[in-house]
Amino acid sequence: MNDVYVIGAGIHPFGRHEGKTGLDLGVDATKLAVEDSGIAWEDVEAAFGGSSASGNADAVLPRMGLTGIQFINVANGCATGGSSVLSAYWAIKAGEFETALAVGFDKHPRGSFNPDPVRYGLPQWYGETGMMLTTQFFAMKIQRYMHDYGISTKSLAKVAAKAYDQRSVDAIYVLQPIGGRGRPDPGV
Amino acid sequence: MKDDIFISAERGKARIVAGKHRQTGQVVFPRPQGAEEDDFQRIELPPSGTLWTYTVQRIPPKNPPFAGVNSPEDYQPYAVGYIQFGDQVMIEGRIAGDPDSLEIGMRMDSVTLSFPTPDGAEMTTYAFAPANGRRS
Repeated sequence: MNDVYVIGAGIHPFGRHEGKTGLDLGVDATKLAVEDSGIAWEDVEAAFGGSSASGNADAVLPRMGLTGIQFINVANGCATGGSSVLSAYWAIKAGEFETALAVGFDKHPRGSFNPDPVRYGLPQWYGETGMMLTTQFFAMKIQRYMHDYGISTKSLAKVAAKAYDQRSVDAIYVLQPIGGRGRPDPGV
Repeated sequence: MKDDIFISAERGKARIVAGKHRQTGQVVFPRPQGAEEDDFQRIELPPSGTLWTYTVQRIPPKNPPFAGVNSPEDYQPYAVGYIQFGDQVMIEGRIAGDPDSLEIGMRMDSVTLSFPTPDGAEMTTYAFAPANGRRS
Protein backbone atom coordinates (compact mmCIF):
# COMPACT_ATOMS: atom_id res chain seq x y z
CA MET A 1 0.00 0.00 0.00
CA ASN A 2 1.38 3.42 -0.94
CA ASP A 3 1.44 6.40 1.39
CA VAL A 4 -0.80 9.15 0.07
CA TYR A 5 0.00 12.85 0.21
CA VAL A 6 -1.97 15.98 -0.61
CA ILE A 7 0.55 17.84 -2.77
CA GLY A 8 -1.60 20.72 -3.95
CA ALA A 9 -4.93 22.36 -3.29
CA GLY A 10 -6.98 25.11 -4.85
CA ILE A 11 -10.29 26.78 -4.09
CA HIS A 12 -12.51 29.31 -5.80
CA PRO A 13 -13.99 31.79 -3.31
CA PHE A 14 -17.49 30.93 -2.10
CA GLY A 15 -20.24 33.29 -3.15
CA ARG A 16 -22.57 34.19 -5.99
CA HIS A 17 -20.47 34.85 -9.05
CA GLU A 18 -22.52 36.32 -11.89
CA GLY A 19 -21.17 35.49 -15.31
CA LYS A 20 -19.40 32.35 -14.18
CA THR A 21 -20.82 28.85 -14.51
CA GLY A 22 -20.31 26.21 -11.86
CA LEU A 23 -17.92 24.53 -14.25
CA ASP A 24 -15.92 27.78 -14.47
CA LEU A 25 -15.50 27.71 -10.70
CA GLY A 26 -14.34 24.10 -10.83
CA VAL A 27 -11.85 24.76 -13.61
CA ASP A 28 -10.42 27.75 -11.70
CA ALA A 29 -10.00 25.61 -8.58
CA THR A 30 -8.42 22.77 -10.58
CA LYS A 31 -5.90 25.12 -12.19
CA LEU A 32 -4.96 26.53 -8.78
CA ALA A 33 -4.56 23.03 -7.34
CA VAL A 34 -2.34 21.85 -10.19
CA GLU A 35 -0.26 25.04 -9.98
CA ASP A 36 0.06 24.62 -6.22
CA SER A 37 1.22 21.01 -6.59
CA GLY A 38 4.17 21.93 -8.77
CA ILE A 39 3.40 19.13 -11.24
CA ALA A 40 2.04 19.63 -14.73
CA TRP A 41 -1.55 18.81 -15.69
CA GLU A 42 -0.09 16.20 -18.04
CA ASP A 43 1.29 14.39 -14.97
CA VAL A 44 -2.14 13.93 -13.36
CA GLU A 45 -3.02 10.28 -13.95
CA ALA A 46 -6.63 9.99 -12.80
CA ALA A 47 -9.49 12.24 -11.73
CA PHE A 48 -12.58 11.98 -9.54
CA GLY A 49 -15.19 14.63 -9.01
CA GLY A 50 -18.79 15.65 -8.89
CA SER A 51 -21.39 18.38 -9.10
CA SER A 52 -25.04 18.31 -8.12
CA ALA A 53 -26.49 21.14 -10.19
CA SER A 54 -23.71 22.23 -12.55
CA GLY A 55 -23.53 19.27 -14.88
CA ASN A 56 -21.03 16.47 -15.16
CA ALA A 57 -17.78 17.23 -13.39
CA ASP A 58 -15.80 15.45 -16.10
CA ALA A 59 -16.46 18.53 -18.25
CA VAL A 60 -13.38 19.90 -16.47
CA LEU A 61 -11.24 17.61 -18.65
CA PRO A 62 -11.55 19.32 -22.06
CA ARG A 63 -10.99 22.68 -20.35
CA MET A 64 -7.81 21.46 -18.68
CA GLY A 65 -6.55 19.44 -21.63
CA LEU A 66 -7.46 16.06 -23.02
CA THR A 67 -4.60 13.95 -21.76
CA GLY A 68 -6.50 10.67 -21.99
CA ILE A 69 -6.97 10.11 -18.26
CA GLN A 70 -10.08 8.59 -16.75
CA PHE A 71 -12.45 10.92 -14.94
CA ILE A 72 -14.94 9.13 -12.67
CA ASN A 73 -18.02 11.22 -11.93
CA VAL A 74 -19.00 10.93 -8.27
CA ALA A 75 -22.54 11.61 -7.05
CA ASN A 76 -22.94 11.38 -3.31
CA GLY A 77 -24.98 14.40 -2.24
CA CYS A 78 -23.28 16.75 0.22
CA ALA A 79 -20.49 14.18 0.58
CA THR A 80 -19.54 14.28 -3.12
CA GLY A 81 -16.34 16.28 -2.49
CA GLY A 82 -15.29 14.02 0.35
CA SER A 83 -16.13 10.90 -1.63
CA SER A 84 -14.05 12.20 -4.54
CA VAL A 85 -11.05 12.75 -2.26
CA LEU A 86 -11.58 9.29 -0.79
CA SER A 87 -11.74 7.73 -4.27
CA ALA A 88 -8.47 9.42 -5.28
CA TYR A 89 -6.91 8.35 -1.99
CA TRP A 90 -7.88 4.72 -2.49
CA ALA A 91 -6.67 4.69 -6.10
CA ILE A 92 -3.24 5.99 -5.12
CA LYS A 93 -3.01 3.88 -1.98
CA ALA A 94 -3.75 0.78 -4.04
CA GLY A 95 -0.85 1.60 -6.31
CA GLU A 96 -2.97 2.02 -9.43
CA PHE A 97 -1.89 5.64 -9.93
CA GLU A 98 0.86 7.97 -8.69
CA THR A 99 -1.22 11.14 -8.89
CA ALA A 100 -4.91 11.98 -8.99
CA LEU A 101 -7.22 14.99 -8.99
CA ALA A 102 -10.30 15.30 -6.81
CA VAL A 103 -12.64 18.18 -7.67
CA GLY A 104 -16.11 19.33 -6.72
CA PHE A 105 -18.11 22.41 -7.71
CA ASP A 106 -21.66 23.73 -7.70
CA LYS A 107 -23.99 26.65 -8.20
CA HIS A 108 -27.43 26.55 -6.64
CA PRO A 109 -30.46 28.81 -6.95
CA ARG A 110 -31.48 30.62 -3.76
CA GLY A 111 -33.72 28.90 -1.24
CA SER A 112 -34.07 25.29 -0.23
CA PHE A 113 -33.23 22.31 -2.41
CA ASN A 114 -36.31 20.72 -3.94
CA PRO A 115 -35.44 17.20 -5.00
CA ASP A 116 -38.02 14.75 -6.33
CA PRO A 117 -38.74 12.32 -3.45
CA VAL A 118 -39.35 9.41 -5.84
CA ARG A 119 -35.78 9.66 -7.13
CA TYR A 120 -34.66 8.98 -3.55
CA GLY A 121 -36.91 5.97 -3.08
CA LEU A 122 -39.36 8.00 -1.02
CA PRO A 123 -43.11 8.44 -1.48
CA GLN A 124 -44.36 11.67 -3.08
CA TRP A 125 -46.27 12.62 0.08
CA TYR A 126 -42.95 12.86 1.94
CA GLY A 127 -42.19 15.97 -0.10
CA GLU A 128 -45.77 17.23 -0.28
CA THR A 129 -46.08 17.35 3.52
CA GLY A 130 -42.84 19.32 3.85
CA MET A 131 -40.29 16.79 5.08
CA MET A 132 -37.98 16.56 2.04
CA LEU A 133 -35.49 19.17 3.23
CA THR A 134 -31.78 18.68 3.74
CA THR A 135 -31.35 21.39 6.38
CA GLN A 136 -34.38 20.10 8.29
CA PHE A 137 -32.77 16.67 8.52
CA PHE A 138 -29.48 18.11 9.78
CA ALA A 139 -31.31 20.36 12.26
CA MET A 140 -33.07 17.36 13.77
CA LYS A 141 -29.80 15.46 13.94
CA ILE A 142 -27.99 18.26 15.79
CA GLN A 143 -30.99 18.80 18.08
CA ARG A 144 -30.68 15.21 19.30
CA TYR A 145 -26.89 15.46 19.50
CA MET A 146 -27.14 18.62 21.62
CA HIS A 147 -29.62 16.84 23.90
CA ASP A 148 -27.44 13.74 24.30
CA TYR A 149 -24.17 15.58 24.92
CA GLY A 150 -25.37 18.72 26.69
CA ILE A 151 -24.27 21.12 23.97
CA SER A 152 -25.63 24.66 24.27
CA THR A 153 -27.03 26.77 21.44
CA LYS A 154 -24.15 29.17 22.12
CA SER A 155 -21.59 26.45 21.37
CA LEU A 156 -23.43 25.59 18.17
CA ALA A 157 -23.48 29.27 17.19
CA LYS A 158 -19.71 29.46 17.68
CA VAL A 159 -19.20 26.47 15.38
CA ALA A 160 -21.48 28.08 12.79
CA ALA A 161 -19.60 31.39 13.03
CA LYS A 162 -16.32 29.56 12.44
CA ALA A 163 -17.76 27.71 9.47
CA TYR A 164 -19.07 30.93 7.91
CA ASP A 165 -15.69 32.61 8.34
CA GLN A 166 -14.18 32.44 4.86
CA ARG A 167 -10.65 32.11 6.24
CA SER A 168 -11.52 28.71 7.68
CA VAL A 169 -12.62 27.30 4.32
CA ASP A 170 -9.46 28.32 2.49
CA ALA A 171 -7.64 25.27 1.28
CA ILE A 172 -5.38 23.75 3.87
CA TYR A 173 -3.22 20.72 3.50
CA VAL A 174 -0.27 19.08 5.13
CA LEU A 175 2.67 17.27 3.65
CA GLN A 176 2.25 14.10 5.60
CA PRO A 177 0.55 10.85 4.71
CA ILE A 178 -3.19 10.98 5.04
CA GLY A 179 -4.81 7.91 6.48
CA GLY A 180 -3.83 5.53 9.20
CA ARG A 181 -5.85 2.51 10.23
CA GLY A 182 -7.40 2.61 6.79
CA ARG A 183 -9.22 5.92 7.22
CA PRO A 184 -8.36 9.34 5.84
CA ASP A 185 -7.44 11.92 8.45
CA PRO A 186 -10.57 14.01 9.06
CA GLY A 187 -8.34 17.01 9.69
CA VAL A 188 -7.13 17.07 6.08
CA MET B 1 -51.97 8.35 1.54
CA LYS B 2 -54.81 7.72 3.99
CA ASP B 3 -55.39 4.04 4.93
CA ASP B 4 -52.06 2.97 3.39
CA ILE B 5 -50.10 5.22 5.73
CA PHE B 6 -52.45 6.04 8.58
CA ILE B 7 -56.06 5.61 9.65
CA SER B 8 -58.17 8.21 11.40
CA ALA B 9 -59.38 7.52 14.93
CA GLU B 10 -61.84 9.44 17.09
CA ARG B 11 -61.22 13.02 18.31
CA GLY B 12 -58.58 13.83 15.68
CA LYS B 13 -56.37 10.94 16.70
CA ALA B 14 -54.76 8.60 14.17
CA ARG B 15 -53.00 5.26 13.99
CA ILE B 16 -49.87 4.86 11.90
CA VAL B 17 -49.92 1.90 9.50
CA ALA B 18 -46.58 0.10 9.18
CA GLY B 19 -45.26 -3.19 7.85
CA LYS B 20 -43.87 -6.07 9.91
CA HIS B 21 -41.56 -8.46 8.11
CA ARG B 22 -43.10 -11.92 8.21
CA GLN B 23 -39.75 -13.68 8.81
CA THR B 24 -37.58 -11.23 10.76
CA GLY B 25 -40.26 -9.23 12.57
CA GLN B 26 -38.59 -5.97 11.53
CA VAL B 27 -41.04 -3.07 11.48
CA VAL B 28 -40.74 -0.55 8.65
CA PHE B 29 -42.59 2.59 7.64
CA PRO B 30 -44.10 3.19 5.22
CA ARG B 31 -45.25 -0.35 4.56
CA PRO B 32 -43.47 -1.50 1.39
CA GLN B 33 -45.55 -1.60 -1.77
CA GLY B 34 -45.02 -3.55 -4.98
CA ALA B 35 -42.51 -6.37 -5.15
CA GLU B 36 -41.83 -6.48 -1.40
CA GLU B 37 -45.42 -6.00 -0.27
CA ASP B 38 -46.18 -9.65 0.43
CA ASP B 39 -43.16 -9.98 2.72
CA PHE B 40 -44.71 -7.56 5.20
CA GLN B 41 -47.75 -7.91 7.39
CA ARG B 42 -49.87 -4.75 7.75
CA ILE B 43 -49.82 -3.57 11.36
CA GLU B 44 -51.02 -0.51 13.27
CA LEU B 45 -48.54 1.12 15.64
CA PRO B 46 -49.53 2.00 19.20
CA PRO B 47 -51.40 5.32 19.46
CA SER B 48 -48.45 7.16 21.02
CA GLY B 49 -44.68 7.23 21.20
CA THR B 50 -41.94 9.55 22.49
CA LEU B 51 -40.31 12.56 20.83
CA TRP B 52 -36.76 11.61 19.75
CA THR B 53 -35.87 14.88 18.06
CA TYR B 54 -37.55 17.80 16.29
CA THR B 55 -37.00 21.11 14.54
CA VAL B 56 -39.03 23.96 13.09
CA GLN B 57 -39.11 24.49 9.33
CA ARG B 58 -38.79 28.27 9.16
CA ILE B 59 -37.62 28.52 5.54
CA PRO B 60 -40.46 27.90 3.05
CA PRO B 61 -39.91 24.67 1.10
CA LYS B 62 -40.21 24.91 -2.67
CA ASN B 63 -43.19 23.66 -4.66
CA PRO B 64 -42.77 21.00 -5.92
CA PRO B 65 -42.44 18.91 -3.90
CA PHE B 66 -44.10 20.89 -1.04
CA ALA B 67 -47.89 21.03 -1.43
CA GLY B 68 -48.55 23.68 1.24
CA VAL B 69 -48.69 27.47 1.00
CA ASN B 70 -45.12 28.74 0.65
CA SER B 71 -45.42 32.37 -0.43
CA PRO B 72 -43.30 34.68 1.76
CA GLU B 73 -46.43 36.55 2.97
CA ASP B 74 -48.54 33.54 3.91
CA TYR B 75 -46.05 30.85 4.84
CA GLN B 76 -46.57 29.36 8.29
CA PRO B 77 -43.53 27.64 9.85
CA TYR B 78 -44.25 24.16 11.15
CA ALA B 79 -42.54 21.65 13.39
CA VAL B 80 -41.37 18.20 12.33
CA GLY B 81 -39.85 15.45 14.39
CA TYR B 82 -39.00 11.79 14.86
CA ILE B 83 -41.26 9.82 17.16
CA GLN B 84 -39.97 6.62 18.71
CA PHE B 85 -42.42 3.75 19.07
CA GLY B 86 -40.82 1.49 21.65
CA ASP B 87 -37.80 -0.25 20.17
CA GLN B 88 -39.71 -1.05 16.98
CA VAL B 89 -39.41 1.93 14.71
CA MET B 90 -39.06 5.71 14.52
CA ILE B 91 -41.49 7.69 12.40
CA GLU B 92 -40.76 11.11 10.93
CA GLY B 93 -43.76 13.41 10.79
CA ARG B 94 -45.21 16.89 11.09
CA ILE B 95 -45.92 18.05 14.64
CA ALA B 96 -49.17 19.82 15.39
CA GLY B 97 -49.28 22.68 17.85
CA ASP B 98 -46.83 25.07 19.47
CA PRO B 99 -43.18 24.19 18.76
CA ASP B 100 -42.07 26.04 21.91
CA SER B 101 -43.77 23.41 24.07
CA LEU B 102 -41.71 20.55 22.65
CA GLU B 103 -39.16 18.65 24.68
CA ILE B 104 -37.20 15.58 23.65
CA GLY B 105 -38.58 12.52 25.43
CA MET B 106 -42.14 13.82 25.83
CA ARG B 107 -45.07 11.57 25.01
CA MET B 108 -46.64 12.21 21.61
CA ASP B 109 -49.99 11.07 20.22
CA SER B 110 -50.55 10.14 16.59
CA VAL B 111 -53.05 12.60 15.12
CA THR B 112 -54.31 13.85 11.79
CA LEU B 113 -53.28 17.26 10.50
CA SER B 114 -54.74 19.30 7.65
CA PHE B 115 -52.87 22.17 6.05
CA PRO B 116 -53.98 24.55 3.28
CA THR B 117 -52.70 24.26 -0.27
CA PRO B 118 -52.22 27.27 -2.60
CA ASP B 119 -55.39 26.40 -4.58
CA GLY B 120 -57.58 26.83 -1.48
CA ALA B 121 -57.99 23.11 -0.83
CA GLU B 122 -56.24 21.27 1.98
CA MET B 123 -54.09 18.21 2.39
CA THR B 124 -54.54 15.84 5.31
CA THR B 125 -51.65 13.86 6.70
CA TYR B 126 -50.69 12.02 9.86
CA ALA B 127 -48.84 14.07 12.45
CA PHE B 128 -47.95 14.00 16.12
CA ALA B 129 -49.02 16.16 19.04
CA PRO B 130 -47.97 16.31 22.70
CA ALA B 131 -50.13 13.81 24.61
CA ASN B 132 -52.91 15.43 26.63
CA GLY B 133 -51.75 18.79 25.37
CA ARG B 134 -53.61 21.50 23.54
CA ARG B 135 -53.60 21.29 19.78
CA SER B 136 -53.69 24.21 17.42
